[in-house]
Amino acid sequence: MFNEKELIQACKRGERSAQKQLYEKFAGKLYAVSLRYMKSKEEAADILQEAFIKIFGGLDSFRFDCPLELWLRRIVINTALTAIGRRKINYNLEEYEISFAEENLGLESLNYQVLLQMINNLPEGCKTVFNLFAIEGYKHHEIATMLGISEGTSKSQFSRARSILIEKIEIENSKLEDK
Amino acid sequence: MNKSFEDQWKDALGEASQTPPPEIWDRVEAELNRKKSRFLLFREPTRKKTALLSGVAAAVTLVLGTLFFMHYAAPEAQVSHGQAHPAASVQDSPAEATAPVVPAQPAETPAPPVRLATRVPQTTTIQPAVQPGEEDVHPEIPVKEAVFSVEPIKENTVSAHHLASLPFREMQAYAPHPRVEAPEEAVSETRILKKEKRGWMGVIASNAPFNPHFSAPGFQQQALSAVQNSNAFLALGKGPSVADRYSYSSRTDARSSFKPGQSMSFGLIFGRKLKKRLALESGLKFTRATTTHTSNVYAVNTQTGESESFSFANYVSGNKNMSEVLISVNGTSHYSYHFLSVPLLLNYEVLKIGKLNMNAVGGISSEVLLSGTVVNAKNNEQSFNAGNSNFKPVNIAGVGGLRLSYPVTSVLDINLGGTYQHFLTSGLQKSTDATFRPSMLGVNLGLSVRQ
Repeated sequence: MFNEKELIQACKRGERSAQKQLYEKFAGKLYAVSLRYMKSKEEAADILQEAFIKIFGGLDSFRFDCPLELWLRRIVINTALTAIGRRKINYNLEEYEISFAEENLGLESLNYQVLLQMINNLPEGCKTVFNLFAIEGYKHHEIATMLGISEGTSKSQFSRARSILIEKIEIENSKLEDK
Repeated sequence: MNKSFEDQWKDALGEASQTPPPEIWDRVEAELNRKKSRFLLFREPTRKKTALLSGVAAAVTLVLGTLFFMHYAAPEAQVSHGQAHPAASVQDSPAEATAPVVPAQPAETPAPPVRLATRVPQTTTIQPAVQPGEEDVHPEIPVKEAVFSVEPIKENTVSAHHLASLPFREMQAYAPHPRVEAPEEAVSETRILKKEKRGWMGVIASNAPFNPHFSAPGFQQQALSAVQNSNAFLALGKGPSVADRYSYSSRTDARSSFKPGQSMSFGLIFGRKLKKRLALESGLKFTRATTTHTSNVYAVNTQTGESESFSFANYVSGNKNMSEVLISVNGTSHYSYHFLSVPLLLNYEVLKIGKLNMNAVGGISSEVLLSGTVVNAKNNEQSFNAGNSNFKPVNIAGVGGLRLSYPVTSVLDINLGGTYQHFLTSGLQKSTDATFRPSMLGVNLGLSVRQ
């Protein structure tokens, strides 16, 4: 068994067993990331595959100056965004800004599949912006640059996503209460 | 206090894990094996540096070879050489002599020769990690007075010292835990993750030797035939002796050759990525090219007595008034051509290591002849274009070369390369039995802005 640094060095040398070990260690988390961005499991699997090809081809540029997982995660996100970008999504949305009071959403009572389904049911533009802003932690001006949209559009997309999600969470929570 | 909407989602999904389909690893492995068996140039990351060095060496060799070619090699494009007739009464001057002298005195009265022509601290600079294939989207991120607030989750806490060495986004994305906020003034300075640039536009300038590759297989025969059927001395109004006329008309050493000149080009280029490594490139370029023509065969205007190169009269201007032809000493004419080019090129990224890109460029170029001038041995200048000469208005040229690109800023690239261009079609009309297929092998330098 390698420690992380040894694992990376072995992967850089092209050792297949090390590459497999790295894959097995991170594939689960990275697949979950991919699932949030793509429309289907098949697409998410394709992104995961493409990302790992990039990872093994580009490990030379990993300089150990950040946690490996973050580096891998970013590659998956960028690979997914490139794929999404090819679809020419229309991000244009009329001004959609609603302020919400911070409140406990009750997400802990909902299981992963339900939450994932909620995200995947969002309109494509909303979903991407929501993932980048809420879960990855990018700022709106960063998202605007990443997606080639205005900061205002990013904010509008996120507000719309939040509105839709809050509504769905309420419905799901009420179903649970009924049970 | 409730967590924010975003934090609640981050807690719920940020660390989620799902088992991927089992065949994914097999597909990754198959792709890795396929890549490994690719062309040597791309086979191993460790060999990329060697390959890049080889590429750089190739580009440097191309550039140096071109410079050598420009300065030392100036082979003449010889059209035709005849054997000097033993009875020739005119001593050819050396090639650099530009003043052919014709003895035009009357038979009985010695007279001087007549010249036909004369010529002569608080800023923390965070260096982001580079990821494969996305290097240009993570420029340096300067963050001033970054404020860190780390939630007290011990098992995931990282030291502030370590955090400071992380790229800004990574600190943000260090889910679920450390959260980094940058002050507004820092944000304005922050160059952030960018979408991959899909296109570019820029300016380019080139310098190359210009070899006209002028070929007229029938020159010798046509020139000698014209000489035999001419009475150029009478056309000049200076009838030579019977002996001189005989010796001139019986010479067979008709010569015509082109010496490569120089070309300078400048223009605009536009490019658009088609795939990750492949792009389509076009633009608009102006080229001025020169060449020198040396010949000892002259056509004489029967009306004015003016003379010009038989080659120009016969193949380029088609001047019917130039009906009398004689062979004399070598004289030079200087040609210049002005072309407007519209290239259509494929640009393939051969290598990319760090920020340096090496691209192979190839395609075709439409070459529109705008105009040209020829200054003959008598320093008379004539202009020509596709409308008043045998030059064709448009030709197609093949283009190929290598280019090195280096990003000097996040959007600006500097480009250096070597390009070879050769006309695929003759620049002269088919009605002439001569061909003009110039080539240029030169260096080019440019700046381009990625968009």
